[in-house]
Amino acid sequence: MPQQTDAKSWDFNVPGDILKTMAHAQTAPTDSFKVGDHVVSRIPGFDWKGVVVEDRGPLGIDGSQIVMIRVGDEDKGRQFEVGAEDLDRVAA
Amino acid sequence: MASKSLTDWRTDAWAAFDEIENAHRAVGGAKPGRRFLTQQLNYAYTMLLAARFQGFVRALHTQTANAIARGTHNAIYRELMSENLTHDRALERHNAQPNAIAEDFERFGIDIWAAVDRERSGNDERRKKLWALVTWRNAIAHDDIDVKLARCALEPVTISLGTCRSWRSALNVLATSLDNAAADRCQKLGLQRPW
Repeated sequence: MPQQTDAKSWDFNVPGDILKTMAHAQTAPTDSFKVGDHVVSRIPGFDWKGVVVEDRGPLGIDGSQIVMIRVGDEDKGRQFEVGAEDLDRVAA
Repeated sequence: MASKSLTDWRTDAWAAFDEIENAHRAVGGAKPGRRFLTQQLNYAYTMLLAARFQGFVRALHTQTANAIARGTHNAIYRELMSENLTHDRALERHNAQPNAIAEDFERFGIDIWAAVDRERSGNDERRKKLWALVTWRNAIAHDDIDVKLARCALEPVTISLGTCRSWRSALNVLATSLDNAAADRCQKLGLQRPW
């Protein structure tokens, strides 16, 4: 049975979206975060829960993965980038 | 040494631009005089240049933000910096027009275009070419070329392969200068030069 998620269709890459295609063009390790993953910060003191909306690729200063996450609603939520080392994957 | 963003620009983006150049040759050579056969290729080239440059600048901003955030003394500050340096960037909403680039790099406490102009002479003229490219990109994307031509808002008034090559050349120099200016900024903030 397919896993339920509240990620929206426009969180995903679509044909013709050049910028997003570029960001996703590189092969990511299998354990890397993917668009639609639900994540929390592993840093104490940050209690938000977010959804990965874009894999920015290995843009960390040491080549680590960076993702764009959305916290909150699609319209009013905040979007920002976080290094994968500061995130934990959680159930939707 | 170059950032990953600049390396990607010089490899992936250049390869994409070369595909359009090859398509031009396939249509019948790369010399002038085939405008009616190649105009859509020139429009595609324009869109690609603008899109790839936006991708480069956004990636460079991400890398710079990450380098600065990694320079903080603990993980909480790192996350605060990372969130606030990358939240609601102009480059998420706009093309890579000079004012959007300036607005986003201002978060690092830098006048990026002043730094880029110091980096290499002629960059002020190259920035004008970036404006021309973005203006043309918008006219193509919004299908209002004729309206903008009537208002004399497009310079040059037509796009040729030569125009696209000239824009590409200007973007190459601007990309290198932006890359150096971002690395310089990190160093001036007391961090190790990131690239």
